[in-house]
Amino acid sequence: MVWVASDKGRLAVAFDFRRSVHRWTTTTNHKEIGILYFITSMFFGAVGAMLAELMRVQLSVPSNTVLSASLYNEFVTMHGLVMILWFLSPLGIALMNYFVPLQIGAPDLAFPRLNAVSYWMYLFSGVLAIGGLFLPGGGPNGGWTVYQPLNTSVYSPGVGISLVFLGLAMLAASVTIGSINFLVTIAHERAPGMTISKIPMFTWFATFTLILMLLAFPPLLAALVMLMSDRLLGTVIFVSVAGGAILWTNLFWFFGHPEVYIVLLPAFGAIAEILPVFAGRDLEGRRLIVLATGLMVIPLSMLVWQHHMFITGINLAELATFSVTTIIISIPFDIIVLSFILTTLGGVKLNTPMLWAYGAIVLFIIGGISGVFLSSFVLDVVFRGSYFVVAHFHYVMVGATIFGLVAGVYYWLPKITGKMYSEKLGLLHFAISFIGFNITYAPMFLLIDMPRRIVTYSASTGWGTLNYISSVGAIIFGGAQLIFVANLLYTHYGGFPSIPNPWHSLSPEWGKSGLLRSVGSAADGSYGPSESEAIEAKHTSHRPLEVSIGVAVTLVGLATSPYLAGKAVIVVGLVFLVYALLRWARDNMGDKFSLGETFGDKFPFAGVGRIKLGMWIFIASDILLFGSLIGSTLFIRENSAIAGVVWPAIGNVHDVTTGAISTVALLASSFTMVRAVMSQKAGEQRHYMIWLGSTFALGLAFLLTEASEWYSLYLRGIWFNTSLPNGLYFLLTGVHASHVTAGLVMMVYLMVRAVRKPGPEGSKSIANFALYWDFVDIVWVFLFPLFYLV
Amino acid sequence: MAVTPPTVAIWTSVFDVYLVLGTLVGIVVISVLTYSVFTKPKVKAEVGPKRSLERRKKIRAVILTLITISILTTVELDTFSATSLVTVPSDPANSMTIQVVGQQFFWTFIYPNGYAQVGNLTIPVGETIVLNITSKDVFHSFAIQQLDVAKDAIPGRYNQLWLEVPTPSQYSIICKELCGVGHAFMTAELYAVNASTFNAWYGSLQTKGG
Repeated sequence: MVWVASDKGRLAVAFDFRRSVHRWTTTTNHKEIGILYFITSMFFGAVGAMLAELMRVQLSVPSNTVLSASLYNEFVTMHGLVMILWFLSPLGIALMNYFVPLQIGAPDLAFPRLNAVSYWMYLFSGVLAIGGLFLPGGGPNGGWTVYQPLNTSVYSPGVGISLVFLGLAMLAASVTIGSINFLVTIAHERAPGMTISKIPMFTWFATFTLILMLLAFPPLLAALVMLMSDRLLGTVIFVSVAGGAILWTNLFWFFGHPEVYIVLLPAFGAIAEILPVFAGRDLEGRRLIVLATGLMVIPLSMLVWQHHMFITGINLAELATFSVTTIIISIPFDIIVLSFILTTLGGVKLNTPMLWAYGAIVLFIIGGISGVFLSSFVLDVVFRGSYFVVAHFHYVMVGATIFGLVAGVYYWLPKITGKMYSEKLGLLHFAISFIGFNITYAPMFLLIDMPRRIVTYSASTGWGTLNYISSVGAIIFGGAQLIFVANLLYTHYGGFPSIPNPWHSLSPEWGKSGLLRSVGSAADGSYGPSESEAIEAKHTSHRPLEVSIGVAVTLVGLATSPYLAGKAVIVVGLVFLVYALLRWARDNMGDKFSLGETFGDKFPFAGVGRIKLGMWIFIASDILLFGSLIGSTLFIRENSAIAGVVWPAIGNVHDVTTGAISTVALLASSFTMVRAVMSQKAGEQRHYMIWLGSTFALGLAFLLTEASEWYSLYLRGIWFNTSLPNGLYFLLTGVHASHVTAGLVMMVYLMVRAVRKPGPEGSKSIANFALYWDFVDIVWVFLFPLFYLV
Repeated sequence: MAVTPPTVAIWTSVFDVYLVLGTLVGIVVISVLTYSVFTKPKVKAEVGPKRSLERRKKIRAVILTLITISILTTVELDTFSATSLVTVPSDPANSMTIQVVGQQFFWTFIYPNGYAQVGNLTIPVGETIVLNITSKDVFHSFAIQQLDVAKDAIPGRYNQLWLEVPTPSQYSIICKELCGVGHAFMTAELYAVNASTFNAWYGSLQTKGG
């Protein structure tokens, strides 16, 4: 942008600005969204880093009083949450957005608007989370692990805390939408010739990351739903001593451990791209790395969570099991690291990306070996909750992850900007970061006796010197990141134009492969899309931003719902959300934003439509959500005797007949839905409308029966907050009823669409919707016996 | 007379194996990586036909994996040899069970005779002490880092740990799980005293009726 002194120039600048805002708020282009993700994650990273620097200042000398205990606890909590969920993971997603479609030759993601929704939900979830710090009561102060019952409203009241947790739930939604979108893209949108064996390594690691996201986030969402129900609706799931505290640790770590790999794997993907290029030879053990990650890391990462609970009093058999699974999961990582090292044997070209990749591997080796120490349930007695653990996971999550992702950023910067960064600044950035990092975190390995998350310590502990060194290191390490910012700005504003493929990489995103479609794969070296302007104009939409604003406002209202104004905000948010969704539906009716449905001709999803595949993946994540909720109910019930809670006898609270009527209604609606799908296939418009209408009527009947039961219970004085069993009943049936309601809304949409567009074209989505409806019915088949029959 | 408390002896014996092997592996692997990264790249003269080269690579991979697995097995067996640290002996002779209750932000110790004391735990030397740990409010974690013992204090649950102190001495008790604003100051002191001193003190409590 050039400032010109004339009026005309100023006008042009103003016009430019408006166009720019319009472009970035309506874009659905994967490259542009990648850049938005990158900038936003850098912002949140800066916020998290500031919190860390302040904590290091507080800890630099004994008995320091820079931060109060409550402020320190808020910082320690928000630092963890922001860094892991709003910085590291989204930084990986930024690179995935930009490069996964390029690597597989896809024109864009499978659902470009949903990609924009993911981004805006991510942005606003972060705004909510940071905003929570400034509301009355401040932000959460119970650690990023949000242990219970400390974070229930009994011990931590305050709307700010609620807002942060709702922001977290919103992020979980964003991540789930994003992982569905990416998985469909990778499975479905690969260019002809991009067979599974040719998929580049970064895309492989992205795929594994996405699968883990899909598996890990639903349990977190379920845990947050229950926590918010405790905080806002008065249930006592985590407040009660009936296993609530242990339930949370299980759910949280079931999410939390895979989350570590979610953060780490994109960095490994970048390293696996960089090493062969700078070593000038193939990546050693390429197939072995893919197999080890896919077949060992993914399943095992779901089976190690209790190593975070070694001192919670689990029995010896569990200790042994989880220690062994943890030690086994280090084998695939050994394979990966050894393959990386073998690739470098014989020397490499030492440019900035390679140096950062080297740093990442060294730090991962240290972090990984210290992780083996932590797999021992004997050693963990002391390490658990100590600074040894802090050192360990910072070596993995800051060392390996950030160094690896920064390597990726430098490596791909010429592709993104079309310009070359400053090599001198890059080397300086690495040298100071690497030294600063080790000065910061190596001393923590020696602070074995010092517990984490303490605001201060007395001089008599003897921890002062090591803490002081660490704090000095933190300032060096943090300061070095200013060089990164300087280098990025230099590249953008003053960098020399780069040749299209400066590293002579053979990877498809550099446009060297003849395999790919011309669209989106040219080494154009511009931020912008490579498609023609005409196509691009059709691929912009205001709806993703509007929908996300609607959700964010509603959540602000929910968090502040203890106040009257908060309830009003909920209404405003919901009205806006409905408006945005209606406009979205209208866009669809008018084919304003249309993508040709391409059938995947790629193994193993040959012949499965894009939307159908997306629906299946969504259902998989929803199964985990309900599975977590139902499993939690069973766990609480199993432990209820401790709290002296008696589960109501059959027929005592919940009338079996009423339950049976609603069950029959819902099951019948599955039958009518099948008939609707069959009529659509046969092209019988009238029958289609009749069967779809009957399904709607039966669904509505179910919902009304449910509502009448809720109302009669309410009249009897039974509500969310009256007892543990009652609260669980209302919460689970409520979550299910919201799914039914969403289904009814979608049926209205399908009926309107069929009226407007008679014929198979207007009703083709029914088969995809039927999957959802059947799933919702099946969930009830589990809920009915759970609350009515046993 | 052993001066090292048995829990410390067990923990340290396990730690030493991990430390030696871990340091060794770390140094070797990082050295190899650093050497190869900081040597100028040269075109590798790969001698022999491609098939034998592939075979050599495969053998190399198998050997490296076997080395990895044997090191991991060694340390895991090392851990399994020390389960006595985390399992509480069932009703050991010469032992005393004391109940520990964590709450925001102090520890209460309840002796078999019902006497409750806040902030310091007095025990006799040379005796196996079993602590029965729970919490009155939120999730805490009871830890004596210098004695290498810790267990979470969880509302509604009782967790046991054992310890034994051979000589009169003093240790700090801390909370290892963030439990609120006073977490850093939720400390207590463990005093191990001679059996005769302990008995005299404990006996005097009973006359006070707890």
